[in-house]
Amino acid sequence: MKDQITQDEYFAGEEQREEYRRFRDLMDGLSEEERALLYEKYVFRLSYAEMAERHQCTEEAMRMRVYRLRKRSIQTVKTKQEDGI
Amino acid sequence: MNTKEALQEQYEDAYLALLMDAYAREKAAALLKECEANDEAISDAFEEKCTAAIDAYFRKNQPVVRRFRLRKILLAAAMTVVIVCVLFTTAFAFSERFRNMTRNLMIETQEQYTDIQIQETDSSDLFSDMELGWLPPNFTLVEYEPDLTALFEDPEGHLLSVLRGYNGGIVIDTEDPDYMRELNINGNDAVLIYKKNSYHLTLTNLRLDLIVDIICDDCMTEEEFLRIAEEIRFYD
Repeated sequence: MKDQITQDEYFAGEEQREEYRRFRDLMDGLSEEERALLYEKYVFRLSYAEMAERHQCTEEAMRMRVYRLRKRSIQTVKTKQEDGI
Repeated sequence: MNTKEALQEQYEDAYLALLMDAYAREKAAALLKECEANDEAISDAFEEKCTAAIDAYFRKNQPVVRRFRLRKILLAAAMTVVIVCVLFTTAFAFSERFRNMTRNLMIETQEQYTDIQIQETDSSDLFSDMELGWLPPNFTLVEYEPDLTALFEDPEGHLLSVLRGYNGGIVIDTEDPDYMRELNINGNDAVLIYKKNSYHLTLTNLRLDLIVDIICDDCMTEEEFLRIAEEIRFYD
Protein backbone atom coordinates (compact mmCIF):
# COMPACT_ATOMS: atom_id res chain seq x y z
CA MET A 1 0.00 0.00 0.00
CA LYS A 2 1.29 3.44 -0.85
CA ASP A 3 2.18 5.81 1.94
CA GLN A 4 0.16 8.62 0.52
CA ILE A 5 -2.86 8.09 -1.62
CA THR A 6 -3.94 11.24 -3.34
CA GLN A 7 -7.27 12.21 -4.79
CA ASP A 8 -5.58 12.54 -8.17
CA GLU A 9 -5.52 8.77 -8.47
CA TYR A 10 -9.30 8.64 -8.42
CA PHE A 11 -10.57 11.90 -9.82
CA ALA A 12 -9.25 13.35 -13.05
CA GLY A 13 -10.81 16.81 -12.98
CA GLU A 14 -10.94 19.58 -10.43
CA GLU A 15 -14.74 19.35 -10.40
CA GLN A 16 -14.64 15.70 -9.35
CA ARG A 17 -12.02 16.44 -6.71
CA GLU A 18 -14.22 19.23 -5.38
CA GLU A 19 -17.15 16.82 -5.24
CA TYR A 20 -15.01 14.35 -3.37
CA ARG A 21 -13.98 17.01 -0.84
CA ARG A 22 -17.65 17.80 -0.23
CA PHE A 23 -18.36 14.09 0.17
CA ARG A 24 -15.49 13.79 2.65
CA ASP A 25 -16.92 16.68 4.70
CA LEU A 26 -20.28 14.96 4.68
CA MET A 27 -18.75 11.66 5.76
CA ASP A 28 -16.83 13.30 8.57
CA GLY A 29 -20.10 14.80 9.80
CA LEU A 30 -22.05 11.55 9.83
CA SER A 31 -22.57 9.50 12.95
CA GLU A 32 -20.40 6.45 13.56
CA GLU A 33 -23.26 4.13 12.69
CA GLU A 34 -24.14 5.92 9.46
CA ARG A 35 -20.50 5.80 8.39
CA ALA A 36 -20.38 2.12 9.27
CA LEU A 37 -23.41 1.45 7.05
CA LEU A 38 -21.76 3.10 4.06
CA TYR A 39 -18.50 1.23 4.69
CA GLU A 40 -20.34 -2.08 4.91
CA LYS A 41 -22.37 -1.47 1.78
CA TYR A 42 -19.85 0.17 -0.53
CA VAL A 43 -16.42 -0.89 0.72
CA PHE A 44 -16.98 -4.33 2.24
CA ARG A 45 -19.83 -5.07 -0.18
CA LEU A 46 -22.03 -6.76 2.39
CA SER A 47 -25.53 -7.78 1.36
CA TYR A 48 -28.57 -6.15 2.93
CA ALA A 49 -29.24 -9.40 4.76
CA GLU A 50 -25.74 -9.45 6.29
CA MET A 51 -26.01 -5.80 7.28
CA ALA A 52 -29.44 -6.36 8.81
CA GLU A 53 -28.04 -9.19 10.90
CA ARG A 54 -25.15 -7.05 12.12
CA HIS A 55 -27.39 -4.13 13.04
CA GLN A 56 -30.25 -6.25 14.31
CA CYS A 57 -32.98 -4.96 12.08
CA THR A 58 -34.96 -6.29 9.16
CA GLU A 59 -33.53 -6.49 5.65
CA GLU A 60 -36.10 -4.05 4.35
CA ALA A 61 -35.41 -1.55 7.12
CA MET A 62 -31.73 -1.77 6.23
CA ARG A 63 -32.46 -1.28 2.54
CA MET A 64 -34.43 1.86 3.38
CA ARG A 65 -31.67 3.25 5.61
CA VAL A 66 -29.01 2.72 2.97
CA TYR A 67 -31.24 4.20 0.28
CA ARG A 68 -31.70 7.33 2.41
CA LEU A 69 -27.98 7.63 3.05
CA ARG A 70 -27.16 7.16 -0.61
CA LYS A 71 -29.68 9.77 -1.67
CA ARG A 72 -28.49 12.21 0.97
CA SER A 73 -24.87 11.75 -0.09
CA ILE A 74 -25.54 12.24 -3.79
CA GLN A 75 -27.86 15.18 -3.15
CA THR A 76 -25.31 16.92 -0.95
CA VAL A 77 -22.58 16.57 -3.53
CA LYS A 78 -24.74 17.59 -6.46
CA THR A 79 -26.74 20.35 -4.77
CA LYS A 80 -23.66 22.21 -3.65
CA GLN A 81 -22.25 21.84 -7.11
CA GLU A 82 -25.31 23.54 -8.60
CA ASP A 83 -25.17 26.29 -5.98
CA GLY A 84 -21.60 26.97 -6.89
CA ILE A 85 -22.31 27.53 -10.60
CA MET B 1 -38.98 2.52 -13.15
CA ASN B 2 -37.89 3.26 -16.71
CA THR B 3 -34.47 2.61 -18.24
CA LYS B 4 -33.23 6.13 -17.57
CA GLU B 5 -34.13 5.92 -13.89
CA ALA B 6 -32.55 2.50 -13.57
CA LEU B 7 -29.34 3.75 -15.18
CA GLN B 8 -29.39 6.83 -12.94
CA GLU B 9 -29.63 4.55 -9.91
CA GLN B 10 -26.74 2.41 -11.16
CA TYR B 11 -24.69 5.55 -11.76
CA GLU B 12 -25.34 6.87 -8.25
CA ASP B 13 -24.49 3.50 -6.74
CA ALA B 14 -21.24 3.26 -8.69
CA TYR B 15 -20.29 6.88 -8.01
CA LEU B 16 -20.91 6.49 -4.29
CA ALA B 17 -18.82 3.31 -4.29
CA LEU B 18 -15.98 5.25 -5.94
CA LEU B 19 -16.25 8.09 -3.42
CA MET B 20 -16.33 5.61 -0.55
CA ASP B 21 -13.31 3.75 -1.88
CA ALA B 22 -11.32 6.98 -2.14
CA TYR B 23 -12.47 8.01 1.34
CA ALA B 24 -11.55 4.65 2.88
CA ARG B 25 -8.11 4.66 1.28
CA GLU B 26 -7.44 8.23 2.37
CA LYS B 27 -8.44 7.42 5.94
CA ALA B 28 -6.33 4.29 5.92
CA ALA B 29 -3.31 6.18 4.61
CA ALA B 30 -3.78 8.88 7.26
CA LEU B 31 -4.00 6.28 10.01
CA LEU B 32 -0.91 4.52 8.74
CA LYS B 33 0.99 7.80 8.64
CA GLU B 34 -0.16 8.64 12.15
CA CYS B 35 0.91 5.22 13.32
CA GLU B 36 4.35 5.67 11.79
CA ALA B 37 4.68 9.18 13.22
CA ASN B 38 3.94 7.85 16.68
CA ASP B 39 6.46 5.12 16.10
CA GLU B 40 4.05 2.55 17.36
CA ALA B 41 5.44 -0.75 16.28
CA ILE B 42 2.98 -3.33 15.03
CA SER B 43 3.64 -6.68 16.58
CA ASP B 44 4.63 -9.52 14.26
CA ALA B 45 1.75 -11.61 15.51
CA PHE B 46 -0.78 -8.89 14.72
CA GLU B 47 0.70 -8.28 11.28
CA GLU B 48 0.62 -12.00 10.50
CA LYS B 49 -3.01 -12.11 11.57
CA CYS B 50 -3.87 -9.19 9.28
CA THR B 51 -1.95 -10.70 6.38
CA ALA B 52 -3.71 -14.02 6.87
CA ALA B 53 -7.10 -12.30 6.85
CA ILE B 54 -6.26 -10.38 3.69
CA ASP B 55 -4.90 -13.50 1.99
CA ALA B 56 -7.98 -15.45 2.93
CA TYR B 57 -10.20 -12.74 1.48
CA PHE B 58 -8.37 -12.59 -1.82
CA ARG B 59 -8.09 -16.35 -2.09
CA LYS B 60 -11.86 -16.43 -1.99
CA ASN B 61 -12.31 -13.64 -4.48
CA GLN B 62 -9.57 -14.11 -7.03
CA PRO B 63 -9.01 -17.06 -9.33
CA VAL B 64 -5.69 -18.83 -9.23
CA VAL B 65 -3.39 -17.31 -11.81
CA ARG B 66 -2.00 -19.87 -14.19
CA ARG B 67 1.21 -19.08 -15.91
CA PHE B 68 1.40 -20.46 -19.37
CA ARG B 69 3.77 -19.31 -22.02
CA LEU B 70 1.92 -18.65 -25.22
CA ARG B 71 2.95 -17.44 -28.54
CA LYS B 72 2.26 -13.78 -29.08
CA ILE B 73 -0.43 -14.25 -31.66
CA LEU B 74 -2.34 -16.73 -29.51
CA LEU B 75 -2.07 -14.41 -26.53
CA ALA B 76 -3.42 -11.53 -28.54
CA ALA B 77 -6.30 -13.67 -29.77
CA ALA B 78 -7.07 -14.89 -26.25
CA MET B 79 -6.99 -11.33 -24.89
CA THR B 80 -9.39 -10.21 -27.58
CA VAL B 81 -11.78 -13.01 -26.72
CA VAL B 82 -11.56 -12.17 -23.00
CA ILE B 83 -12.16 -8.47 -23.59
CA VAL B 84 -15.14 -9.18 -25.82
CA CYS B 85 -16.54 -11.60 -23.22
CA VAL B 86 -16.05 -9.10 -20.40
CA LEU B 87 -17.66 -6.30 -22.39
CA PHE B 88 -20.53 -8.56 -23.36
CA THR B 89 -21.00 -9.86 -19.82
CA THR B 90 -20.83 -6.37 -18.36
CA ALA B 91 -23.32 -5.03 -20.85
CA PHE B 92 -25.50 -8.08 -20.28
CA ALA B 93 -25.38 -7.62 -16.52
CA PHE B 94 -26.05 -3.91 -16.41
CA SER B 95 -28.36 -3.21 -19.33
CA GLU B 96 -31.82 -4.69 -19.39
CA ARG B 97 -32.24 -3.36 -22.91
CA PHE B 98 -29.12 -5.22 -24.03
CA ARG B 99 -30.35 -8.42 -22.37
CA ASN B 100 -33.66 -8.16 -24.14
CA MET B 101 -32.03 -7.41 -27.48
CA THR B 102 -29.76 -10.45 -27.09
CA ARG B 103 -32.63 -12.74 -26.18
CA ASN B 104 -34.70 -11.43 -29.06
CA LEU B 105 -31.78 -11.97 -31.42
CA MET B 106 -31.46 -15.57 -30.26
CA ILE B 107 -35.15 -16.17 -30.71
CA GLU B 108 -35.10 -14.62 -34.18
CA THR B 109 -32.11 -16.63 -35.35
CA GLN B 110 -33.31 -19.93 -33.97
CA GLU B 111 -36.95 -19.95 -34.86
CA GLN B 112 -38.06 -18.68 -38.18
CA TYR B 113 -41.71 -18.53 -37.18
CA THR B 114 -41.32 -17.53 -33.53
CA ASP B 115 -42.93 -14.25 -32.58
CA ILE B 116 -41.84 -13.63 -29.01
CA GLN B 117 -40.71 -10.22 -27.75
CA ILE B 118 -39.11 -9.68 -24.34
CA GLN B 119 -39.77 -6.19 -23.05
CA GLU B 120 -38.58 -4.11 -20.10
CA THR B 121 -40.40 -4.51 -16.80
CA ASP B 122 -43.55 -2.55 -16.32
CA SER B 123 -43.81 -0.84 -12.95
CA SER B 124 -47.29 -2.26 -12.41
CA ASP B 125 -46.10 -5.84 -12.87
CA LEU B 126 -43.42 -6.31 -10.24
CA PHE B 127 -44.12 -9.78 -8.89
CA SER B 128 -45.03 -12.95 -10.76
CA ASP B 129 -47.56 -14.28 -8.26
CA MET B 130 -49.19 -11.12 -6.96
CA GLU B 131 -50.06 -7.60 -7.95
CA LEU B 132 -50.12 -4.36 -5.97
CA GLY B 133 -53.62 -3.13 -6.72
CA TRP B 134 -53.30 0.20 -4.97
CA LEU B 135 -50.56 2.50 -3.77
CA PRO B 136 -50.94 5.92 -2.15
CA PRO B 137 -50.82 8.78 -4.64
CA ASN B 138 -47.43 10.31 -5.53
CA PHE B 139 -45.41 7.20 -4.66
CA THR B 140 -43.12 6.17 -7.51
CA LEU B 141 -40.87 3.15 -7.90
CA VAL B 142 -37.23 3.94 -7.08
CA GLU B 143 -35.64 0.52 -6.55
CA TYR B 144 -36.70 -2.89 -7.78
CA GLU B 145 -35.50 -6.46 -7.72
CA PRO B 146 -37.70 -8.78 -9.80
CA ASP B 147 -39.98 -10.96 -7.71
CA LEU B 148 -38.25 -9.89 -4.50
CA THR B 149 -38.63 -6.28 -3.50
CA ALA B 150 -39.92 -2.91 -4.63
CA LEU B 151 -39.11 0.43 -3.01
CA PHE B 152 -41.33 3.45 -3.62
CA GLU B 153 -40.80 7.08 -2.67
CA ASP B 154 -43.02 10.15 -2.57
CA PRO B 155 -41.85 13.72 -3.35
CA GLU B 156 -41.27 14.41 0.36
CA GLY B 157 -38.83 11.51 0.62
CA HIS B 158 -41.10 9.11 2.48
CA LEU B 159 -40.39 5.49 1.61
CA LEU B 160 -42.65 2.51 1.11
CA SER B 161 -41.13 -0.93 0.77
CA VAL B 162 -42.76 -4.17 -0.36
CA LEU B 163 -40.86 -7.42 0.05
CA ARG B 164 -42.01 -10.78 -1.24
CA GLY B 165 -40.94 -13.57 1.08
CA TYR B 166 -38.39 -16.06 -0.14
CA ASN B 167 -36.45 -19.01 1.22
CA GLY B 168 -39.17 -19.77 3.67
CA GLY B 169 -39.49 -16.63 5.71
CA ILE B 170 -39.04 -13.01 6.63
CA VAL B 171 -37.43 -11.50 9.72
CA ILE B 172 -39.94 -9.44 11.71
CA ASP B 173 -38.83 -7.00 14.37
CA THR B 174 -41.42 -7.29 17.14
CA GLU B 175 -39.29 -5.86 19.92
CA ASP B 176 -40.85 -2.96 21.85
CA PRO B 177 -43.50 -1.90 19.34
CA ASP B 178 -45.77 1.08 20.03
CA TYR B 179 -48.55 -1.30 19.18
CA MET B 180 -49.04 -4.62 17.43
CA ARG B 181 -52.26 -6.21 16.15
CA GLU B 182 -53.17 -9.47 14.51
CA LEU B 183 -55.50 -9.00 11.54
CA ASN B 184 -57.23 -10.96 8.84
CA ILE B 185 -57.06 -9.35 5.41
CA ASN B 186 -59.13 -10.96 2.67
CA GLY B 187 -58.87 -14.33 4.43
CA ASN B 188 -55.10 -14.04 4.96
CA ASP B 189 -53.47 -13.72 8.38
CA ALA B 190 -51.52 -10.55 8.98
CA VAL B 191 -49.62 -8.77 11.74
CA LEU B 192 -49.58 -4.99 11.92
CA ILE B 193 -46.77 -3.34 13.90
CA TYR B 194 -46.29 0.36 14.55
CA LYS B 195 -42.82 1.19 15.81
CA LYS B 196 -40.45 4.15 15.62
CA ASN B 197 -42.80 6.19 13.42
CA SER B 198 -43.20 3.53 10.80
CA TYR B 199 -45.83 0.95 9.88
CA HIS B 200 -44.87 -2.64 9.30
CA LEU B 201 -47.30 -5.27 8.04
CA THR B 202 -46.61 -8.93 7.38
CA LEU B 203 -49.20 -10.74 5.33
CA THR B 204 -49.23 -14.50 4.81
CA ASN B 205 -50.94 -16.37 2.03
CA LEU B 206 -50.90 -20.04 3.06
CA ARG B 207 -52.48 -21.20 -0.17
CA LEU B 208 -49.54 -19.91 -2.22
CA ASP B 209 -47.05 -20.39 0.62
CA LEU B 210 -46.21 -16.72 0.33
CA ILE B 211 -45.28 -13.97 2.78
CA VAL B 212 -45.47 -10.28 1.94
CA ASP B 213 -43.74 -7.67 4.05
CA ILE B 214 -44.75 -4.01 3.77
CA ILE B 215 -42.96 -1.18 5.57
CA CYS B 216 -43.83 2.49 5.33
CA ASP B 217 -42.88 5.75 7.01
CA ASP B 218 -45.58 7.38 9.05
CA CYS B 219 -46.76 9.55 6.16
CA MET B 220 -50.26 8.15 5.74
CA THR B 221 -53.16 7.02 7.87
CA GLU B 222 -53.36 3.49 9.13
CA GLU B 223 -56.40 2.96 6.89
CA GLU B 224 -54.38 3.96 3.84
CA PHE B 225 -51.54 1.68 4.87
CA LEU B 226 -53.90 -1.25 5.36
CA ARG B 227 -55.51 -0.56 2.02
CA ILE B 228 -52.20 -1.36 0.31
CA ALA B 229 -52.43 -4.86 1.76
CA GLU B 230 -56.16 -5.19 1.16
CA GLU B 231 -55.72 -4.41 -2.53
CA ILE B 232 -52.98 -6.95 -3.15
CA ARG B 233 -54.22 -9.52 -5.65
CA PHE B 234 -52.67 -12.96 -5.55
CA TYR B 235 -52.49 -15.07 -8.68
CA ASP B 236 -53.54 -18.67 -8.23
